Amino acid sequence: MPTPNRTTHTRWKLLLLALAALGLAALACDVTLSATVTPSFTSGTTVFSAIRWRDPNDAIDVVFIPDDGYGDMSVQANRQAFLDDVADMIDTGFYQNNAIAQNLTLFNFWFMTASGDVQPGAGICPAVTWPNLADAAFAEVIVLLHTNVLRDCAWGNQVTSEPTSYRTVVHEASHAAFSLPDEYCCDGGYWNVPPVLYTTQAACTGDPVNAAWQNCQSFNASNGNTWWRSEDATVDIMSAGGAVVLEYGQADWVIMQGVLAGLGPAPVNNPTVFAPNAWDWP
Amino acid sequence: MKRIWLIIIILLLAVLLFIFGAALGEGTGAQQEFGEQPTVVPADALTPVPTPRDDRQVAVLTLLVVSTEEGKVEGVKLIEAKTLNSFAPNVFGLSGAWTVELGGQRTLRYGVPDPRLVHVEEESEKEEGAPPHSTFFETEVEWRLVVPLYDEEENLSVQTISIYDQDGNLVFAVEVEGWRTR
Repeated sequence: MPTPNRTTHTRWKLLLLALAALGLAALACDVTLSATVTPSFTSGTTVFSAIRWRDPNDAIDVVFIPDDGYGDMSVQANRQAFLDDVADMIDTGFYQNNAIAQNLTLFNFWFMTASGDVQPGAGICPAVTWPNLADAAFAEVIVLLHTNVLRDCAWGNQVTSEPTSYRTVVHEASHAAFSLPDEYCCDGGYWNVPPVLYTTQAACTGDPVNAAWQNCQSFNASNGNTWWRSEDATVDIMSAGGAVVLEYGQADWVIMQGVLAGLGPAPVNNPTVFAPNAWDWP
Repeated sequence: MKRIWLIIIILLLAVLLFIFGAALGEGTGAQQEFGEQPTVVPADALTPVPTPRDDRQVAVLTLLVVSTEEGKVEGVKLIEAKTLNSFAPNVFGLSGAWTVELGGQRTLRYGVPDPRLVHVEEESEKEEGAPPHSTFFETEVEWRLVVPLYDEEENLSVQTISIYDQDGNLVFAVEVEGWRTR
C-alpha cells in the first residue's frame, strides 16, 4: 500500500501530464468559428442564413434576394446557383475590404427564397418587382441579384445588382448600414457627418477627431452647397468606383466603428489598412 | 519539491490560456487571423432567420414622397402601415440627410438618407477613379421605411412617428396606434 505522500505526488504528476497532453492537443487543432449555429427558436419562411454569426440585433445584416431569372428557389440546383453567386459576392466583395474582414463576425449574410424581378425600366432605373420584404424587415441592407445586364439603382437600403458588381454592392451597403455619405463630387448625397464631411472649413479644421489625417478640402455640390472633406482627395470606397473593392478612409472608420461598437458586446477590430492603400484577403 | 510542481502547473495553465485565447481570437479584440474565408451554407441547409420574442416589433411604413423639381417636399402620403414581430435594423445613432423622430415614453431621433436621391449605376463606374455612381433626384418616389418600436430590451411605447427633411421641415407625422399587426 503506497504511503499518502507518494500517492499525492503521483496525482500531481498525472495532473501535469494531463495538462501537457491537453496543451499538445490544442496546438494540433484548428479552432474555427462556426457561422452556421442553428438558432434555438425559428420562424419566418422566406429568409434563411447564408453566413450567420449572431442574432440580427447584434450584427449588420445583409439579405440577398434572387431575381426570378435564377429559377424556382424550391429547386435545390437553382438555389445552389444563386448561393454560389451570393458566396462570390461576399468573398470577392465584402471580404476584400479590410475593415469588414477584420470584423467579419459582425456581418450576417442571409438569402431569401422568394424571388424578385429586375427588368429594364422606362426611365433611368430598372423596373423592379420586390418580393414581400416582411421577413427581411430586420435587414440593414437588401440586395436583389440578377444575371441580366442592365443599369442598376439603389433606393436607400434596397439595391439591385449584377452578381459581379462587387464594389457597387459594398459601397451601397456602406451607405445603408453606416449612413456614410458620398465623398465624390458633385451630385451625391451629402450632409454634415463629422469627421467625414463638414459644412464649413472652420468646422473641418477645428475638429480634433480628424487631426491624424486632416487635409480639409472643399467641393461644390450640384445644388450649390459647399462641403468640406477632411480626407482631402483620398480615393476610398465612398469616393470612387472601379472593379475591385477599395478600403475605407480613416474618417469613414470613425463612423463605422461607432456603429459596430453599438451592436453589442463583441469587440470591434481596427483595420490594418486604410485607403488609399489596397488590401486583399491573403 | 511540491512547490516546484505547483509552479510548473501554474505556468502550464498560463500557457494553455494563452494558446486558447489566441486561437479563438474573438472576444479579445485581436486582429483577425486570415485563414480561409467563411463559407456560405450549401443549398440543402435551410436555417430560417430567428424572430424575437413577441413584444419586439417594428413598424413598416410605405410612403409616397412627392417633391418639386427644385427639391421642396410637396407631400408625403402614407400608402401602408403595419407592425411586425421582427428584429429591427440598427438605426439608432445613424446620421442622415433626413430625420426620423419617435415620440412616446421618450423621444428618439435618427438619420436616414434623403429617399428621393436614387443612386444610379453608370457605365464608367467600373473605371478606376470614376465616381461610384451618379445620383438622380426623383420627384415622386415610393419609400419603404422600417422603424424600430423597441430599443435593446425596452419597448419604446412609440405613439408617433415624424419625419423631417434636411432643412428641418416636418414633412410627415403619423400615430402608431391602431395599425394592423401580423
